[in-house]
Amino acid sequence: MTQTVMTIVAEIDPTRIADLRALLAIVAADPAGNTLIPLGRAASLHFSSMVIFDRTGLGPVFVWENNFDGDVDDYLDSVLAINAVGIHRLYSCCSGCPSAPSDLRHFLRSMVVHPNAYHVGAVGRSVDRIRKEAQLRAALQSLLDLNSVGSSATAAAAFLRKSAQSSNLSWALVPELRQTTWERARAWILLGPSFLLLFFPLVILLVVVAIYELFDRENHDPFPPANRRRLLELEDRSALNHMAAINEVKPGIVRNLTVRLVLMLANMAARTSNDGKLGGIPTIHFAHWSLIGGGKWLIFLSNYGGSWGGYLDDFIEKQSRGLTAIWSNVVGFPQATFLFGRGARNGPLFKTFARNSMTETLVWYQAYPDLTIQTVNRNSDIRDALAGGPKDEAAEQEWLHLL
Amino acid sequence: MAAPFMSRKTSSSPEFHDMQGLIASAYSHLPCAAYLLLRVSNRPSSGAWLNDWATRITTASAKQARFSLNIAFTASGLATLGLPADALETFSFPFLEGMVDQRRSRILGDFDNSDPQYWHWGGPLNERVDMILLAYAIDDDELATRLNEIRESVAHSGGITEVLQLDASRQSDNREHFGFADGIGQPTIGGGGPFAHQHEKQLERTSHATLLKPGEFILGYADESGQVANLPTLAWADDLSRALPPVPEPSGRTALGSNGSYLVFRQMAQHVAEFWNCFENAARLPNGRSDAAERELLAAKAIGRWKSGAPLVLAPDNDNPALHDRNDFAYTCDNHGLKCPIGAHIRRANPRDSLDHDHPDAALHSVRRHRLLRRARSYGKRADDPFVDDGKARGLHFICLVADLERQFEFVQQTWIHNPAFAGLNRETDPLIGARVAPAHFTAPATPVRRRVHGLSHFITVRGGAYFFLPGLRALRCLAGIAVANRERL
Repeated sequence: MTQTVMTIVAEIDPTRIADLRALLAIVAADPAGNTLIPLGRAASLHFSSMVIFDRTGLGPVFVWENNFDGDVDDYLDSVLAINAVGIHRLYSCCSGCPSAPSDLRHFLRSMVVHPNAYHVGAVGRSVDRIRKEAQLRAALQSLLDLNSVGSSATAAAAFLRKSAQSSNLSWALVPELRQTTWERARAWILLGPSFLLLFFPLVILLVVVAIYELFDRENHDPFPPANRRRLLELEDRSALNHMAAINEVKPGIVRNLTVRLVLMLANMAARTSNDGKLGGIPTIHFAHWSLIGGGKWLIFLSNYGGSWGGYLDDFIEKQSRGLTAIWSNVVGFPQATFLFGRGARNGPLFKTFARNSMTETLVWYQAYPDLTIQTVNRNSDIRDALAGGPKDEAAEQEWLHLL
Repeated sequence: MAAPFMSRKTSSSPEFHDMQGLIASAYSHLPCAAYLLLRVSNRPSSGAWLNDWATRITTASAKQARFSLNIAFTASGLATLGLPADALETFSFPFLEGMVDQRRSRILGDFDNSDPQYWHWGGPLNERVDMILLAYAIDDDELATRLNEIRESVAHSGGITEVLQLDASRQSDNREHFGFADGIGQPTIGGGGPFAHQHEKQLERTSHATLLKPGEFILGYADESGQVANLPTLAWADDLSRALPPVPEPSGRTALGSNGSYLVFRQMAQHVAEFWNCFENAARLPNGRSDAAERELLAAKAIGRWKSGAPLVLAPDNDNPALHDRNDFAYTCDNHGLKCPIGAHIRRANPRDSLDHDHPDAALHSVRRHRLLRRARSYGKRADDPFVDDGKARGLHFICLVADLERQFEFVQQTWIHNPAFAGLNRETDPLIGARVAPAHFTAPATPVRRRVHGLSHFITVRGGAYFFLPGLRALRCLAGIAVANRERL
């Protein structure tokens, strides 16, 4: 099962922005079950957010983030089937919205933005599978709590398999791949040539950008914005958090080309990730980088585990070069050198920049709010070993250590 | 608005004479202590009092044999003393917002019984706390004499009122109320002087010391990332003392935060009988008989050390008092937690090299950014019978010093202590101090299958707390000067 990561970006009719906010407040009160668009009924939907970006020179724009199983067309059909009238009420606040809900599908389809780069943590696993594997782990734990399972790992493992077989857990004994060998190989096969192809353009841009950097005079806003308190109030309500940010790309063709190229490479590299990590960062379920407004604006959306501060520290520590290569092309980023240098390595300045870039997430839906990517992966590892059938004592012991 | 001062500071040795003594020492040679919570009621009078007492504050450069006194301020304290708004907002957000804030309560685990509305001090329903005096003495008599002197001067100050006195109990040994040796592992600070002395002592006592850059704990110095981060500053014109050094940028501002630190204070009541009865019940034999050895083992597994302080990584099966202060161990040899469980208190509070099995060195390196300088002391009498609830108040006055409340103290609480998914675990929090709503479990890995201890309740309840700023000595005199000069109404 492959996931699709996309946003629907619509221009808001400026006279209707208050109406849209009021409607989004209804959705936000109960993202899974509200009357307008009960996202909990979209069985293939992992995470979804709704944000209004409103910056000088842009918009206001309404961004609906969707991370789901399967392809775009099936997904749009399924959400419209839930309540096309409700979705139409939201989009009737946007420019160009057709008057009939039945014409909405074409309208939405035309505004779909596929990200320039994205990351998927739980590669190849559907919402249903993620939820069921969490239940499986809990059921196996109760079996171990309530029964004496013998004195060897093989005996204990045999007991668990037998119990699973004779209960409603038997589905878990059938192995299920996360990715086919071809899917894994393809990412690497594509990465090599694209890197070679992009290497020389990148070197040339790097030299040009290095000269541009000499003239960068960043005017850092030293203090996070007034909406910091509101951002904080929304954070740390579950094991997971959401971040929605927007930045203006520095003017000129060089910066525009550079950010596109860097994102292209980042995307190729991200496709090879199959252990849930993005550049060594193990906490991200879904992340998007999308250029909108003809490449003038970079939006970043992330669904991650743990605290915002910890998330950014992880980025600063493990991926400051990658971060700098992407974001040094936008206005307000800490001074960079040679595209990859400095920049995000100044942790406090980078965090202030990141807070300043953020916009309140008005609606956030999570299909499994208590499952971090590490937990999802561990649950799948437990299931894979269960389905893998009997092994020797050492291998069974490795499995049992996961419980 | 003024920008936070940030640059690479190449300079030299720390200014110990400008630093309060608590940074360099836990005052273990002064076993008696009390904390006085104060409120500022009149600005000029409080300034005069501060000016007077600033000279008696113990510094890091002058160790006192019989008595030490330190002082720290909450954000409301700084504001009430008359610190201008443009200076106040250069302090860190967690400090300005305070410990009691809805989101912060969520991440610190301050809900349910620990909800700030039930706190004895520092909560929304309690009297405002502006300052804290931390007093340490060689014996009870010395402490009583000095406290009397302080309280008398407070009573006559005309500008300061006492909110509450918190007594620490005489520290006869380093055991906390559950019975375990505490405060063994402690990071040390580079830069020589008294820090070097601490480092040597730590190394000698525990066979290990993690040496960190001064900026991890003291404002105005480079931290582990090489940055001097977020130094509170004051407009030059507002520094009437003319004692504060200027900062390189922005121009026209002085280093108000220099040689200061943020101080976290949490009063945690410990429920000794609940703790021991939980492990007593978990350890019972199938026939219902008590199994003391198993009980001690399970409780030690929850902590990560035996009562003596011997770490489970080095002494996995039995307590070995010969290893009592040892801190020279890593978790790579115990990836599955068969010796020291993954969720054990000391493994959560400092995961060392364990968070990335493939890259233990990188994991160990990351942890350096999340360490606390702990200065805790117990309060209340030790329980006569740890299995019987005698209804008496006892617990820990948890104190720690950090340069970044969010990256250090709050991160440890949220990402390690209270995280239900810590290091691959599922739906369990720290067995000792973790927040939980329903009775919870704790996993002790074993072969062939793990053991789970069920029925863990609250073993601690937070009774009060606040974030303080522990200023440098020059900054303290500067604050006193501001209060004296500033006669505007409160």
